[in-house]
Amino acid sequence: MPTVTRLPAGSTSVREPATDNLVTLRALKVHFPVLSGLLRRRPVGAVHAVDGVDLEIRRGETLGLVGESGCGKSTLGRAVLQLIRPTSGEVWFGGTDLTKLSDEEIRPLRRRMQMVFQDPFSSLNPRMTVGETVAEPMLVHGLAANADESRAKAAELFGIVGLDPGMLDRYPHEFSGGQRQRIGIARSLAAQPDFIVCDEPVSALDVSIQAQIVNLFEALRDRLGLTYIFIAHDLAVVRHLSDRIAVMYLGKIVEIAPKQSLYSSPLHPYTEALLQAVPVPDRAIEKRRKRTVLQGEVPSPLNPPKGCRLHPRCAKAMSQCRTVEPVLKQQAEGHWVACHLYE
Amino acid sequence: MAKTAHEALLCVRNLTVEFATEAGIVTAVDRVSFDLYAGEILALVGESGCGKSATALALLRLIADPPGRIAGGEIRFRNQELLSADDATVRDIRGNRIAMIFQEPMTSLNPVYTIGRQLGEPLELHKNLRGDSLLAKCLALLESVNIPEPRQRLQSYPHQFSGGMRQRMMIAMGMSCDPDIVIADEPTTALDVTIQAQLLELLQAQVANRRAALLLITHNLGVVARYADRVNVMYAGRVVESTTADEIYRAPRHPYTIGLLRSVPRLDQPISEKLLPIEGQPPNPLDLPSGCAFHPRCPFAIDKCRAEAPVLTRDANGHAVACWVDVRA
Amino acid sequence: MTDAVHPTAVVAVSVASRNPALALLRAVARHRLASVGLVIIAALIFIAIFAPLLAPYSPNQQDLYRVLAPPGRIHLLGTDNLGRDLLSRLIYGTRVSLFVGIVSSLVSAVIGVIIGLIAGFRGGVVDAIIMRITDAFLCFPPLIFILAMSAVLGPGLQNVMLSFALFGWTIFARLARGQVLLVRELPFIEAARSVGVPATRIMFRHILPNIMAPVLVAITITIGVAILVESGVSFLGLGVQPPTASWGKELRVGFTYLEAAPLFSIAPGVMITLAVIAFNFVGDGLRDALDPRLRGANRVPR
Repeated sequence: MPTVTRLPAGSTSVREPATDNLVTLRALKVHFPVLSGLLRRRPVGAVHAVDGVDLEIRRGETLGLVGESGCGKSTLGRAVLQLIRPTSGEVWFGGTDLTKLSDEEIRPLRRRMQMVFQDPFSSLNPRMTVGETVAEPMLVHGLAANADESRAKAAELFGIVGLDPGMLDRYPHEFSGGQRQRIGIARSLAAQPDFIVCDEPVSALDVSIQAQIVNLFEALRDRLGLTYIFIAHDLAVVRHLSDRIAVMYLGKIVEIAPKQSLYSSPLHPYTEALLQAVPVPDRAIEKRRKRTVLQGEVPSPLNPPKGCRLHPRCAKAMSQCRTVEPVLKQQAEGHWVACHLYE
Repeated sequence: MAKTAHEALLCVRNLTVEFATEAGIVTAVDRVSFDLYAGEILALVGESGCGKSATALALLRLIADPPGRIAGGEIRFRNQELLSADDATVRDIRGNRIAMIFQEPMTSLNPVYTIGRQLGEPLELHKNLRGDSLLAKCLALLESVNIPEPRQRLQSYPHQFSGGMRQRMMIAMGMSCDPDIVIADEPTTALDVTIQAQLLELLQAQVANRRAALLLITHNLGVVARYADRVNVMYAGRVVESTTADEIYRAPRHPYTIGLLRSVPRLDQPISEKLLPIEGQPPNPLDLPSGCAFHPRCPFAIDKCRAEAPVLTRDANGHAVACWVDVRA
Repeated sequence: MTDAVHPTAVVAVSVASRNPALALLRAVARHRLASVGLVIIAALIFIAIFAPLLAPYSPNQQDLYRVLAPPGRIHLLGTDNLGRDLLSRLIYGTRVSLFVGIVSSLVSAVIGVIIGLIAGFRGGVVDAIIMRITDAFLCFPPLIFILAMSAVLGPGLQNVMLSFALFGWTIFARLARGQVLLVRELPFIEAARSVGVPATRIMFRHILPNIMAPVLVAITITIGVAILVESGVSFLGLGVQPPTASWGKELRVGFTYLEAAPLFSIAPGVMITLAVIAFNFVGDGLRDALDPRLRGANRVPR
């Protein structure tokens, strides 16, 4: 597992990251300005959706990204793909810094990096047949010589994701949620990408269908050698698919570890709270479990607390936590935490 | 587990709810029967389309007619039959003796009225509180759900609060008249995990304090394991399994329940273990399979399952299943 | 097959028609007033197409011995001031009025929607400029504007349609832009961007089909408006030129002879009213059929 090389603050190194990393993020920030005023809209503040993230993702790896609403995980996923342009920082994809490219320059690169969206009901164009939706990436990137060829390939993709190829001419509303999500996955595979950002792809699905789709993601990854960022709020789902898991809180990564260590020995108080908050479908275990509930509300990303962002809600907060912001430090092999308890 | 010592607070028998749609009649709830006892937490578990929400709405006669219709059955609340009762009686019970907490905190509070006004409404209607005593009671309620600075909050509007806060206010509103029964329809599904944990703890405490009964509707098997006393599993509008929470996790008997428990990813299972999904799709309510609605997806299905829908049968231990096959064999 | 689940059967399609366009037509036809409107429009189109077969006389055939004749066996609706059969003139007039109405409306729609699409999609400065131009046009009272344009361009049917389109586009531009602002935020648009679909294709292949609903409603209603406008312009002498008949023209000429031959202006007036009402009904039906909130089936709680 490559270690994260921390660059001195303010450096503008153009050194490319190590070549077995497919995606590298450096000091990534995404701030949304809040404008106010009647005639001239002036920025009065900013939502610090992503506030300084460093991350390296190896080719073939699945990185799980968890956190609750407002933590910035969805924004981060979109910022990696440049669907939202970062305010500052670098996003290296296969040797190129995407943040330096224009929208037009990025378009051809999109072939290699795709996204699967959360809501199966609104992420498919209701006025296009599903066959057209799946074929479109091929047409747009010139991967099919003509309509027949793209249709044939679309049929093949349908088969791969477990759908009947005879249904290519139907419209999205004729399918169930789970099937629509499969269509979305087929679309993301159409351009033969290397890297897929999965933004809570099973949250909107029924429990019994979630397992099907999770298995599908796993099978596709093994068969096609894909690299994933898998974003979820459900820790149990993430645990199943990921190699490493990063926990986000208010725009920062507070802990990142290989899955074995994260779940067996979580270090950050927030991670512990998250794990305890998730009930396990087992009566005997639940009766025995400790339940310390994290108090308070998630603060607004408009005005994150000073020092460690968790300190107002953290039972273990010390005086240092109120003033000094902790940085990610390695505590064990591949296991990094940002917390004063471990300094 | 037969509670012969108490009378059931709520007796539902053969409740049937239908909806008229463009493409035909959907039987959302199909002859559902269950009892609810004081002080217990009964979970209604199932996925979308199983009829659990429609059941809850029917209990308070909140089914929109048209397109919905309570087509049959009986609901007895403390010996008062509700389906045949007049509107005044039902209104007196709603919010007062039986309270409901809805799923979407964003939309179940009226955006144009202050919190104080909405919180006070059931108290004014049912308990005839006014002026200072009303204010005092509202403040006490907000404090009981751990909302800081309650005096300011009473003057504020719903949009000024987060989902978690709003749901707390919903809980406060629900509890305000000390109801005998609280129906919570997926109260935390729209919220974050840590907020969910806070709220469920709160709800459980509130209900326990008042010795009220809680009908908890959810699809989350973990929540059920943590909080429920008894469980009813629903599929395609019917109750397919009904027993205590201990029992359902220890020895589930309906293939759907078993499948569900096996397919849910769990924090405690060995990491390398594969997820075992339930094959197939949830049933189309307009075109339910013949016989047992679960048979196309059931690994235990026999011929009889295709032909005849099984009846919910209770064994000596009080564990009820609707299945032709005994999976223990 | 890999570990992926075997092919799953599709959920039985409850709506009989899969194609959204056909389903829409059915939904509209179910609306009582709209079906009346549809029938009337169908009848008018029929009349327009088969005018030569239906009209008892040539519309321009003068009979100076029977000027301003009352309705009778020879001339069912009477004659005009030059002895021409009123019924025939009205039947041929249907062609003109329908043609003008439909073409004006469509041309306005095409121009307006494209402009609105660009404004809404691009946003920023482009949007601001386009919207200010639109506002400028909308400062003028519509009919005065169109009359002024007609006066500038000269008489004739084509100029009426042109004048109408020169104003009518603003309505569609505003409408389309508003819809684009909504649709632009929908997840499938973001999905299209993430796939790498170029902007033009997103505008025309993804956004446009999804804003057509209110645009269709506006088109039907605008047809009614265009017919009225043509009537007004021709009434004032700037539109259709003799000897061509249009409803508005007949109404104008007939007005002079109101006492002598009331049917001369009443009959075309009735035709105009009928057509405008019919298009409005259909527009209403379309609007209701497209309104997702009125679809009861979607409100079944689970």
